[in-house]
Amino acid sequence: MKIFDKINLIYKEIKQDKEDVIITIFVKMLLFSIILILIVITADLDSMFDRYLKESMPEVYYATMNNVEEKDIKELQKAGFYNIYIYCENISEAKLIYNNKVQKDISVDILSGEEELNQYEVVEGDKSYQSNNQECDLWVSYHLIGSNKFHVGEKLQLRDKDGKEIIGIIKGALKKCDEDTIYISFFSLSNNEEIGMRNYPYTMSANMKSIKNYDILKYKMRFKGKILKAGDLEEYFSFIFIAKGIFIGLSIIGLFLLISAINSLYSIRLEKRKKYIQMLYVVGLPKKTIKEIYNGIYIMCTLAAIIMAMVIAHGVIDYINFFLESRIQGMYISEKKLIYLAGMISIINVVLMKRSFSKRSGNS
Amino acid sequence: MIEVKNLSVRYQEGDQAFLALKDIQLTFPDSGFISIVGRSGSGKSTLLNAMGGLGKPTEGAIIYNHENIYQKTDKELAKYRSENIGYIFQEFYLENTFTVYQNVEIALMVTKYPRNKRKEKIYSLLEKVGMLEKCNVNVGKLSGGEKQRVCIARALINGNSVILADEPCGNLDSYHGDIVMKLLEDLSKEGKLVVLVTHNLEDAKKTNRMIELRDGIVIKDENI
Repeated sequence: MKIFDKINLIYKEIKQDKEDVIITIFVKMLLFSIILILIVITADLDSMFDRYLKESMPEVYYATMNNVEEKDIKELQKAGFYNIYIYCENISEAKLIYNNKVQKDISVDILSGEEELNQYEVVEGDKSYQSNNQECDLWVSYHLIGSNKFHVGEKLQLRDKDGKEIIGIIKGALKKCDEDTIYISFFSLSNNEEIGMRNYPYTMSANMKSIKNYDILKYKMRFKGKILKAGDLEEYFSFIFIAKGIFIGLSIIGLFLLISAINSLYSIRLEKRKKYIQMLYVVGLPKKTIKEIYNGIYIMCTLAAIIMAMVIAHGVIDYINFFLESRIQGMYISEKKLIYLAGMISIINVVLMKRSFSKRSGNS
Repeated sequence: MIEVKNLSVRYQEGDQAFLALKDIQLTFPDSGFISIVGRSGSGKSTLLNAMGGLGKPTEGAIIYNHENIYQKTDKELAKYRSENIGYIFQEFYLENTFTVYQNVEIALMVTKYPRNKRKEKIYSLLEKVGMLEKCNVNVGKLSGGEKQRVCIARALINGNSVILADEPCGNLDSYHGDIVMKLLEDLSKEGKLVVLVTHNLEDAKKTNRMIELRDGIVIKDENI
């Protein structure tokens, strides 16, 4: 059959039962609109709260985490954490043995690694570090070098509370240090299998760029046995989590209703038009062409419904934003995702329809 | 010529299997007016559907032009139906929201007949069946006899050589029934093969050959 004739039959089919077509488009449009709005809000909840909280409480954007390992640092940085500072409370129990004497007035602290090291000015020596089972790199407070107490390149003996020892090589001096402190690179320690200090629980504190996807990261870390806490923000996260759950639940229900409606409307239509479809088959139209005609009708109705749903959803979200922004500063919904979602939903739709028609054409 | 070879058709009704046709052997010539008679459930319509490529048999074959039609692909079988077989049903199988012209035109759309030549062909056939004056009338507004004449026009439009008529006069009064029977008779005289399924023996006696089915078996096959 020529394309013009196929289009002709599609047009006639739509014209044949205009009311049915209008109802189908209306129902789909309504369900699409609801699902689009729900999904956009769900996807944007993190950002909405992020914008609101940054305006009203920017000082609370920090978090802590226990049991930090080297591999966690990169993941946290990817999640938008910065100014990551790793510390270990127990490390103060490590003793510095120098000249066979315990230097009680020297404390030992942990550098968080490259990022923090980069915040310090190294006035002597260099920033590169290395580690093996017996040695690790150290940096000392600047005035300790200046006072000639220590020298770059000097080897120091460190012993932890369990008696395990490591030799530290002074790589350089850090200008920013306020106290008499020797800094051990976190990465040096974490690479050392034998060092008892590595077994101390390390804690992280860091600033957060945003709270987007914080909850996912939090549960991921919890699964690994690490507790990520964002202090004052925690109660907001509980609220966001519950809100996300509700919206996701409603979206899923909406999708089920949409799928159900599509299948029902399509089945009703095919049943209603059984004789006409049979007639087309009898006069010699192949099943494939009959499918193409009904696919064409379905696609046209679906596209019309989605376009109208996008317009309605835009309008509703504009209204919600107007309402939110007039009451809560910084809280609004971003709408750009609508377009991509509409495309995804229509693809899912077409796939579902094809399966439905294949089943019915097999049955008839 | 259509040859029915060892044809059996089995239907599944729930847990029960029902044998509608049992090992049918028949030969239909290139032209003629043949009736298939029998009670309801004897397998008449099943045989007609099998011959027309509408229902694949459980066993056996329908041979047309030395080919088993059920070994064709769906597209080839559709082509067989559109180019060779014209159907006339008791329920008409017309689209009530289309006009007479549009209902006949569908058959030409299927065979990709050029659009600029369709009008002439359709008008000529509608005139032959006496429906030219009503070519722009919606089929839903026609009487049963008129609808059946439209079906005949659609069945002939592609020059189909075989006309399969399943109780064409079942929903018609005797006057219109006679008109339809006359048209079918004329078609057989023009060299077409017209196979008529009917439970009306009066109509069957107007044909040249009568095949009687009972419980899916041919019990009689005689020239009249």
